Amino acid sequence: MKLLLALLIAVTNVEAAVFSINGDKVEFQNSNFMISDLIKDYATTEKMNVVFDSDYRDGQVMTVGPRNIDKASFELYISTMLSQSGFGMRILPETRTLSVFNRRDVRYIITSSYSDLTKVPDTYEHIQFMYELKHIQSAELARNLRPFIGRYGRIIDHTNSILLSDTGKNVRRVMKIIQELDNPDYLKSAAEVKELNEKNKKIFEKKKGFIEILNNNNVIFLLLFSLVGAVIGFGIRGYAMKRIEGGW
Amino acid sequence: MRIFLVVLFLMANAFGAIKTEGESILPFQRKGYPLKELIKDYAEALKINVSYPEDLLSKDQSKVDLYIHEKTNFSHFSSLFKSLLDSRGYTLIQENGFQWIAHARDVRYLPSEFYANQKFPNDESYVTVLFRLKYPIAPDITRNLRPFLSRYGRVVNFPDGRSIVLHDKGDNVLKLIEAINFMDTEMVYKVALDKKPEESTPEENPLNEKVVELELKNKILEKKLTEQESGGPHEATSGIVNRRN
Repeated sequence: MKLLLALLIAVTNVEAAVFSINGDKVEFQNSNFMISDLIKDYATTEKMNVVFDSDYRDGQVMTVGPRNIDKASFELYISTMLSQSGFGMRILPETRTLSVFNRRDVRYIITSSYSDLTKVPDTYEHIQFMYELKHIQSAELARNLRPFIGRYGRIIDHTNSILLSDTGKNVRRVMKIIQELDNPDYLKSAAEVKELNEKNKKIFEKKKGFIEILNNNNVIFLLLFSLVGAVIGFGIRGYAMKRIEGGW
Repeated sequence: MRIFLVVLFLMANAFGAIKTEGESILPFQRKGYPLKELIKDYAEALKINVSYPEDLLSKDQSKVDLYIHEKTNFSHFSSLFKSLLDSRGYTLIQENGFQWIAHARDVRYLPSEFYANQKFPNDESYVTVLFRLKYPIAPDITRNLRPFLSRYGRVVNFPDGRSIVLHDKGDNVLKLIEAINFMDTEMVYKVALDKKPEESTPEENPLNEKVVELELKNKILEKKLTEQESGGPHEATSGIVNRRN
């Protein structure tokens, strides 16, 4: 009986692994599994510790189809599933720890920093990237690129540098746009547009009427009003003096 | 009893997974196809891993009526599947080795594939495209393009006046580029050069005239399409011709 119980405990204790590695393929055992189980299994395979944020909310993932992916794409798969559930992960190299955090708190977390685009991970891992522009001014570029930054991403301009904080995948996309734009032709075209705007501005200024200028400048209007008032006042005074005294 | 079971089995098989032959989907029809089941069958037929968070579709009980009358190759079936998902507010994102489904409304936060001078997919998948104009009239063009964007599409112009970045569904970006090429002319540029800001009225702006023309074209095409779908393509065409005349 004792033996049977022990066997039963042993059987119930053995958790089915989410995936198994077969050569260069990762094969999923079931079509649906919990993300936390996936992370734990991944950490075990990679011989890493795991830390989940206190507000981590577990979610279930469905994977249908052949249910096997290349080992090279596995990290991308994990970061995608986490990112979809609103979480991110980072690996602390010193302690070999995989930390799972809430993505909205990413600005308080120290993430990996890169300045070489080829080294930026092509995953949903949150990173920082610095880039020195060659031709364009960073301020105007940063303003126009904001619509392409992720939900918890940031873009900061500093003199002629751009600092991006976003997922590796999105940093790569935004950098592709920047690299396409950052060339001498951009400057040439921008100068042409500036000239055009200046020309239009001059036309606009020339067309302004005298009354419109007065309406827009209260000080000039007051001065002119006082001057006209003074002239009329002196005129009346002169006329009155002439009438009373018979001379100036 | 055995015959009854065999018939039951055959029936279940007939309504089962999508059948394939080589790189094509064999004709089939299914009324009230549950979306979740369709996703599973699509992934198995095309041998692609498709992932999605369980809570994304947990409340979605929507069903699809699918009638595939002819042998359809995988790429066409994939486009059809993407447009089905899109009509239900989802989008399929292609990654290296797997695909995943997300809410289309979240697509602005997701990195879509970037294309500068390359050919991009002509389907419902989202793409980011950098387009360069011949003349520096990007602000005018982006303003006039906004009505043609899809629900979650974006268009941004840069201060050089020639660069436009479009983020939208591939098939819509193609339409937008067609419209841009139509507006990016020397005549429009000359008008922009001589434009006096306080005098430009919407009626006088040649870009707006072009937009109205494009809108009209679009409406005619849409009408033609709906009429064709409801049958009688010849009648529909003649109707448009008469209206034009």
